[in-house]
Amino acid sequence: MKHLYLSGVSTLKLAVEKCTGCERCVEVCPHGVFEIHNHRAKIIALDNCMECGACAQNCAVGALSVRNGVGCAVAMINGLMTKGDPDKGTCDCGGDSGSCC
Amino acid sequence: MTNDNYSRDKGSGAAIPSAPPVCLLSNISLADRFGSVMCRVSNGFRMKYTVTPGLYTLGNPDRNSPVLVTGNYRLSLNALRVSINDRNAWILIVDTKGINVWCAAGKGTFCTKEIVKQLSACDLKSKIAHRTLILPQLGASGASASKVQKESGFSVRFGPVRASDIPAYLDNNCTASPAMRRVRFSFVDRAKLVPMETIPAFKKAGLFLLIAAVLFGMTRNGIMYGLALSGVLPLVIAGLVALFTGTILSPLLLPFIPGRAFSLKGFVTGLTGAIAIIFLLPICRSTPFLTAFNLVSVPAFSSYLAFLFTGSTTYTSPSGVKAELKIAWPLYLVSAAVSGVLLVLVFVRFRGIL
Repeated sequence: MKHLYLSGVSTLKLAVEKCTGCERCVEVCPHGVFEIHNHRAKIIALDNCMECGACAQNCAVGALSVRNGVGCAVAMINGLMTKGDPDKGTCDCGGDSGSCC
Repeated sequence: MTNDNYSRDKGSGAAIPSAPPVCLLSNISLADRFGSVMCRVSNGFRMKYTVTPGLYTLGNPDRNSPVLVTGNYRLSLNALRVSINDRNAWILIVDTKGINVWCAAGKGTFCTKEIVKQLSACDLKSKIAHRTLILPQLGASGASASKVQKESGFSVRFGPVRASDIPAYLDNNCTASPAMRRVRFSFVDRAKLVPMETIPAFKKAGLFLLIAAVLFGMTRNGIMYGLALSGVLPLVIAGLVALFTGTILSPLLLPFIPGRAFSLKGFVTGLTGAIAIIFLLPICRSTPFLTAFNLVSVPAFSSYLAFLFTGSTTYTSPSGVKAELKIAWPLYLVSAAVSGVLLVLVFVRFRGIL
């Protein structure tokens, strides 16, 4: 059964005019977010995006942008509790807590 | 040659520059099986389950054999060497601090710089005729193919998500099918993660219950064990049910539980559990306060525990988790406060009866 997470939240953006159609984004995306249409990338499943950043990291022409990170509640709660900002936390991967990305 | 030969310089922990590549065996030993179980139950064990970074060989690779890159988490390497047991390949292990490739990429330890560094440390160029590296697809969020090429001269192809697809990938001229490119999160995948959710939560809940037992059992003449036990038993049941629904049931039944938000899924399973114990066990509804406590605290605690599982999944986005947190966090604080008040009332009523 397919997993579905919250819809309409992904920060992934494609500047299609910059795209050269190299297909690297299709290659690296683990959730089938992209397809190539008319020699250019197209986002076909934005809600599947987990914002891992693989596509933006590997887009040689900078056509893709995303506020990437790890969707980990432990990290965000840590950030919220210690620094008052969910973006500033780290999860305890490597520490002694259970949940890990 | 032993199966443990790849931990050659356990003492130093550092790669030996240009040392001759170490040969890997492709069979899985009893120790490997023990290791893979231990990684799923002990964080301390998992963090030390590493391999020394460097260049390794599988079979008898020659100057044209493929080069596969991975991190130095031993569980990952085990998966890799078993999957390609009948092949000849070079394995370049970069230092990811013992973390698996995907997490390391997310944290920036599996990165362009580290790959380039390890390439030159192992002097790979002198050992092979081609200039292509196969990186794990899930390393793509940390490493940039174009930057690796620019800085090392090696062109990058991304292999499949799962090591078990590597033979098919290699046979298909280093091309992965769309299915090989998709990450999954099967029942078995989720089941493997359950112990590391349950065990730490269990420890924390245990401490809380111990304190509660002391309070319930406290009298002027010291702690009465019978009193402590009968007072704390309903709380133990409530805690166990929340742990069960939050860290076991929710992860296992994940796609089948209503709602997309993990906090909502955990709430649904927790509420089901709370209603079940109230109906089935008279001890869990002995006072209205206890019934109310079960109805508030069990779903909230279960929801919180299920929410923590977001960090272990293969598909949750930071924006999504943040959106959940925004709504769930104030509710958790309110639930904790209400549960606290109800707990005091349960306690007062319990002691008042006597």
